[in-house]
Amino acid sequence: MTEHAHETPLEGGAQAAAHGHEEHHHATPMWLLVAVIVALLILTVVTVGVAMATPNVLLAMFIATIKASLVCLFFMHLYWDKPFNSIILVISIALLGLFLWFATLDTGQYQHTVIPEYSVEGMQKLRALEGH
Amino acid sequence: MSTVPTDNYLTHSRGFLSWALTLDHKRIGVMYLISTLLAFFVAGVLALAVRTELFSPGLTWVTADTYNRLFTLHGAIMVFLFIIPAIPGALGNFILPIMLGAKDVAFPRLNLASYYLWLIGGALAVFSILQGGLDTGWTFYTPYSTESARKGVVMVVTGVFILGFSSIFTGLNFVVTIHKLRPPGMTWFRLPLFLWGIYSTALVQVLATPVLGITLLLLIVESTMRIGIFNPDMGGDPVLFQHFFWFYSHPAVYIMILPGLAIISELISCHSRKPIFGYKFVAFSSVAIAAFGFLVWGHHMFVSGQSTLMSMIFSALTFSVSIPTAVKMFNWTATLYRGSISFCTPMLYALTFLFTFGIGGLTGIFLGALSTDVHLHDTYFVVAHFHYVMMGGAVIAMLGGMHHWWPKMTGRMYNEPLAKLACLLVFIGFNTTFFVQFVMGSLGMPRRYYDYVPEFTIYHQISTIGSYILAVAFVLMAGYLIASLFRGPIAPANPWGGSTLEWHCASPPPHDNFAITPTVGEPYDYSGMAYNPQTGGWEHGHPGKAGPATHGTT
Repeated sequence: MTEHAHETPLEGGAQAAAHGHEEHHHATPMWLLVAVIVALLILTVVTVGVAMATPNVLLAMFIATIKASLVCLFFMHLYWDKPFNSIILVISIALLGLFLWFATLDTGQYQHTVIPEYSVEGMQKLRALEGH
Repeated sequence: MSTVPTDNYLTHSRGFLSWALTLDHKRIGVMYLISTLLAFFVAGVLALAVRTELFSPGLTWVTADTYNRLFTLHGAIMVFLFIIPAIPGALGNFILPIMLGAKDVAFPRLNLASYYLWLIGGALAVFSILQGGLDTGWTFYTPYSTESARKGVVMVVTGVFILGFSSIFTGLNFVVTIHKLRPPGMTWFRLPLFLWGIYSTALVQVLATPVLGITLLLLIVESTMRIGIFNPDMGGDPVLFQHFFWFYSHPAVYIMILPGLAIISELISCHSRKPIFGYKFVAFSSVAIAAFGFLVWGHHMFVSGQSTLMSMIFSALTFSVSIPTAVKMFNWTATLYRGSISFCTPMLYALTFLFTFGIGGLTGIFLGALSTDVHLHDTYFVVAHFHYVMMGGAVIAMLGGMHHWWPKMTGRMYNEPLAKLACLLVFIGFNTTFFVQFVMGSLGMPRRYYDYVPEFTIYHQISTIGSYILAVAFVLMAGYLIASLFRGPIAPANPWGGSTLEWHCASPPPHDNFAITPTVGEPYDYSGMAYNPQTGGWEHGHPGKAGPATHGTT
């Protein structure tokens, strides 16, 4: 049996060494973790405050995006990871944006063609009439 | 004559548990192969049942309700249990790490988990369909699917949800494996094109499949909690369901076809004994197909009530996919030019693919064009196009790949004349079944209909006879492949003269694939290879370029 037989593939020394990069297990300092959680809590309070003062979805989404970015960067280690991981995340978000953009654009376009009689309220009225 | 290596992945350990709990990518690949082929068999029998019913107008042998269930089961099993997982799960798992020069995939446990998720999800979906008699078709369109919740939609959808996780696990594993486990010298542009194709597929699996999960979850929420999301009766929007569904399911079409395209690149290069023409273009075209695949989902919805503006945008975007696909087709054809072509069975499947996938691709233009699609939508033209792409493309490519790597996987050669005969029967049967469907579709025969006007009888009868020819071909194929396991000649390490790394290790490969991590050169360098009549295989003349064909024990 070879000496590599009991290693998991990612531990295959020859391959990792050949690429000249070892596995880094970055330990996030405690103060940073605490700072991030405090920032998240403050931003949550800000969200509630803003919602009570001037309810605005865009503003709420903006704050939520900052919070999500903090989580991804520090709790999920993207800040220290290779850029490839961030690229995948950005592509995922871009695809989500594309989906929402096209779907809402479509809904906005065909909404005026919906026949009111077949809407929920219209059907309820029809059923009420049938009931009588 | 060669002998079977005494220590190979099949003999390395024995007993049921050694297979059930294996972390060896080759064994998992074999388990995937057997399981997906069983699913293919079941769905194939259902297709025969459907075609038999359509042999004559009206009732032939099953009722209309049973017919609806038969085609739903056929579609759901073929798509979710066979085409999506078959090539990545079976051939990808077996070949990818060896072709890469690695000992295994990056996460062997995740790999085994993906197989068991496939089993659980598949069993749940199939039993639910059988129990509840689901008849929505494989697309689960609302509001019909939410209205027929009592018929087992929720359970079936849960099964498909679990299958989605299986697909994500496999994709994630392959992305990490290709990034992290490449040996010295295996730069991105030395990756065999099979790996580029599987890599692109894996990206789509990871990025698109979660959307299917969300969609199905919303469907379950609507069905069970009566929250209006898609059902207009509850204030929902059924067109939104189609947006959700096709945002996954169109990229899923590329999950199905990209691995097939990847196989064809290998077959054409190897059996023409020429480096692939325009390697970088073929490699990037896989990534481009995967990327464009995310932009075109609305072409499934031209007559759904989707707005005219969006239909126009999607129609225009749809044509973008044809560019990288055509790059592949032209480059394969250019590779054949002045090649030393061997008409062995895998190559016959590759040539069949060029013909059938070409028709499938070109008829897609009719459906991508907004004006013609309005006429052809939901007719047999769509059925024919879909089958020319999925069966004429993905399945034919898989059969080619299976015949190409069968000696590597099993250590045995199959009966070549019978294999050629089966390939010919597949070609005849396939075209007889589906080409005529283009004609009846353009004449207005709607798909999924149980009954039809007598004018369409002759077309349906030709199609049904074609499906029987296909059945004969597959029975023959099963016969000689199973027979080869017991009586087939011992396969040499490199029976086809392949240049990629999987042909550098023994057939069947040893447990660890390579005792020494190989150093690699150009993937399609056929110079310096010589045929050895004593072993019946080809031998590599560049010992410095790749590790020796060892048996894994030192």
